[in-house]
Amino acid sequence: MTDDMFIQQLRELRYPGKVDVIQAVMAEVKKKPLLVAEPPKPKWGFKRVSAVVAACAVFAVGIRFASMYTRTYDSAQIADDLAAVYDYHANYADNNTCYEAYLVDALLN
Amino acid sequence: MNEEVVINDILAGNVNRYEEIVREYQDIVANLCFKIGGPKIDVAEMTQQVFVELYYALPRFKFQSKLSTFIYRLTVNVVCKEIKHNSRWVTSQDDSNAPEIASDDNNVEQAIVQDERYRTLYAAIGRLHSEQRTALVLYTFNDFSYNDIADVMQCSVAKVESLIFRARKNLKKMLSYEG
Repeated sequence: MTDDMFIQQLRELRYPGKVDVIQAVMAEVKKKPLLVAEPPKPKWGFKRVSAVVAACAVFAVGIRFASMYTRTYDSAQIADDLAAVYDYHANYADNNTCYEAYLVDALLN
Repeated sequence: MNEEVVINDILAGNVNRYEEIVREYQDIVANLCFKIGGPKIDVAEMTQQVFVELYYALPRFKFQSKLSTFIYRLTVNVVCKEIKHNSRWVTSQDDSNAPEIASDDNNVEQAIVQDERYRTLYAAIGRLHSEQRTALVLYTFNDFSYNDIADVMQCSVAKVESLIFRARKNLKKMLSYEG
């Protein structure tokens, strides 16, 4: 028998009986309701936790650098302080030799 | 039959629509059980078991493959499990699932000869290793491609090719011994 012949015969093999399992199957499946699975909950895997930790670290470092280079100044307070220094030198020190007063004046103007 | 609509209906609680799926596939499943399972299994009982298991597996079906592929895979799993539980496929004189000749030939003598040929072939495929038998049966079943068989058997295409090659070789050897 050649290769093709038995492949062909195998194709032609049929179950000799007649199968009708509809009633039996329906009776069986009606006994127990179908449980439809809930959608899976997100898993907090290693990668996701690492990403969150890395993001927090980057944020914290960013805040730290930002605070180093960004300062809040109260300009009115500074002007007041400088004016006080200026007054001090104007009243109690020699104007011609008061270099600080000169600087304050230059700054205020 | 729009399978997606039917399945969604069943999942929504309309159990009666499952009948449509059973009616559509029961003959195909029975034939597959008969070819893979051999004479030791009760084809009707196995078919019923496949459809009961299919019903409870429907929520897992995500329409990523054809429903037929899903059913074939389930059938192969159920039958292989049954074969493992029972003893090896013994084909000696058991005629309970004797194969049928798909022939229109009215000549009785020729039909008897052909019948004998089918029985010999059926007995020979029964002696193949279950994986080889499954691959070969699927190969000759509905003209499955290697990819389809790999999908059903959940293995690589290369393995399927190898299994079919060895199955054909072994079957040829067995049939040549038996004349």
